[in-house]
Amino acid sequence: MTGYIRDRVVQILAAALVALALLEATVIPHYHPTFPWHHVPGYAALIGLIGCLVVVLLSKWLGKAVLQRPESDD
Amino acid sequence: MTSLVLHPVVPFAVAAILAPFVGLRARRLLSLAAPLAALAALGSIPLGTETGFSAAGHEWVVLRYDALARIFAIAFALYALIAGVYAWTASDRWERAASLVLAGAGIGVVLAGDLLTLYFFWEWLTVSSLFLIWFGGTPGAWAAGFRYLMFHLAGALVMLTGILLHLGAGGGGAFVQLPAGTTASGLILIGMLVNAAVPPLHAWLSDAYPRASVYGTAFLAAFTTKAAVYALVRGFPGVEALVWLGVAMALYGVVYAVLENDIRRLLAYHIISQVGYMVTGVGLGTGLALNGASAHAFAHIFYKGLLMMSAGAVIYATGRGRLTELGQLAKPLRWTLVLMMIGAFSISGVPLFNGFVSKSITVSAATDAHRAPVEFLLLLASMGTFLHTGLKLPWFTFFANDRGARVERPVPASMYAAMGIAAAICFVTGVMPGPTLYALLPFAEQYDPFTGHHVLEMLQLLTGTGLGFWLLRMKLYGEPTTTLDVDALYRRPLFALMDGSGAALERTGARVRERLGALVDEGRRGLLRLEQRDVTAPLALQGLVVFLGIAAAAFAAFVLSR
Repeated sequence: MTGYIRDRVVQILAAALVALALLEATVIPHYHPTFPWHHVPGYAALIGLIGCLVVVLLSKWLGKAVLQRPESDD
Repeated sequence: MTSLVLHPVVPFAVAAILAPFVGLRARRLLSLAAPLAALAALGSIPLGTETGFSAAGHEWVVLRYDALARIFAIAFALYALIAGVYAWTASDRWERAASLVLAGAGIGVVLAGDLLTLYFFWEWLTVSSLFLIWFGGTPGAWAAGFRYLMFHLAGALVMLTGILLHLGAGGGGAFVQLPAGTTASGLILIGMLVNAAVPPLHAWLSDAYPRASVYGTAFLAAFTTKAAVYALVRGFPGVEALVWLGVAMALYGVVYAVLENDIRRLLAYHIISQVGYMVTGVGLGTGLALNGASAHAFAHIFYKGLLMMSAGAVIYATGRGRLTELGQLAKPLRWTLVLMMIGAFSISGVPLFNGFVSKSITVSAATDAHRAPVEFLLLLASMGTFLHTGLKLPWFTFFANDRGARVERPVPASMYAAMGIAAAICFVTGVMPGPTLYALLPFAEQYDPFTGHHVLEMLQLLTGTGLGFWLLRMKLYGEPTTTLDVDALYRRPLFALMDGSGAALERTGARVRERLGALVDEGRRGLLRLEQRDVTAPLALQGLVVFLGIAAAAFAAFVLSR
């Protein structure tokens, strides 16, 4: 965990995410909030980050459990 | 005043016929001249033109040029030109001919005003794609070509049955919006869904496209699925099932791309994912959503072509196409990297590139229609697109670890030129969508993607994805595995069935042979010869001659009827 926190790339991206969410909370709110999550500043960042973690881990699990076979050319 | 109009398919038909019989230099010029002539023809045909001839009790509307046909036809012709430049160094004469037929068939589909003309060109998409796959030249390509053929012949027969039922029921021959809920329409829809690669009818695409030559794949990526999207926009706007099929498609490709190791197959799964946005747009069915589907198809043709071409350039230079065998190529292939990233930014919807201005329309149409889950799931699919095409693909190809890949031959200037033109189109339509892309949209709805919040939303999504990728990048290392797709469910049973029917044919053949003796033996030897690869050229020739004949007859009748 401390490895992740010390990683410069993680620091920069996390700071950018916070800045973008703050921007949404203050200067540029959703122009036409239609769905509940449109009121949450940084919702798109959360979809990106959490969605990415979930999709990768889920797909990897699915691959290991069911879908992947040793490479063949048929 | 009657003016002679050149049907835009004719230059492709003529070039395809000539290509196998002329020298390399002339062949190269043909594959540039045909799309240029087609573009000139498209420029000279007045919008609203609808013309053809009557024969066999059917109105053959070989040319209908309205705004919906225009955006697809222009994209096809322009991309055929780019891919023609890319294939400058290609030497196979039959492959060149097949690529010209494919481009011509795509344009023929979108200009067809009646169902039988549509079907005619639809079949030519299949035939020409089949040969492009076979010219991949490997045993895998040969086998995948047969699977492709069986799948598409079945799909086209379902579609033809639907068309004939529709005509028989007095539905009229014109290809316009088709009535929902009839058996005939349902069959036609299924035929179109096969070509649009809608799961579970999609496995042919990820199976076959990566097995063509690098030139062949550059052509294959553009035409068949987008011609099907056109047909769906025309025939089935507002069919609710398409909303959900489209969303499922958009996410399906994302899951498979996580597991994929072959760079062209990863991109093929993202064709399925991106066509999902278009199919969703068709299902939503509003003017804005149909504009979104059309605009995204237009943008997709260029950015996906660019991605496939840059992946092809990597394969051309290194002889390798698997992420587990690539890495550390950023220095020797820096321009390929730059061009691939422009394609990746475009497909991911980064502001200032064309995917942003086209994908946003469909997503906004979902929001406007108060379809919360649709908007949410499409945003999730956008995340997946950036994750694989924008991060995983370039990271493991050009950075990550050195797996021994070296540049064994330089990427030709012609490939760079083609990728450069495609990249320029992605960028220019992304920065100035108004006069370029939006001016071509079929419906009147206006749309402005550059609102502050919209840009902010996309930047958040991309940055969040970037962080997720960086945290999990070790998990995303390619693995040398094959991923089972739905085709695993039917390939073995079908094999058993065909094996059985083959044996039955064999028994029948034995009885017939006793009676007809030498005559049948001769035919059998002919049939056996069909299994050898080197007879594909004469076969292609016969097909092309038929194509030329029919195209010439249609053209003559078309001119005479005016």
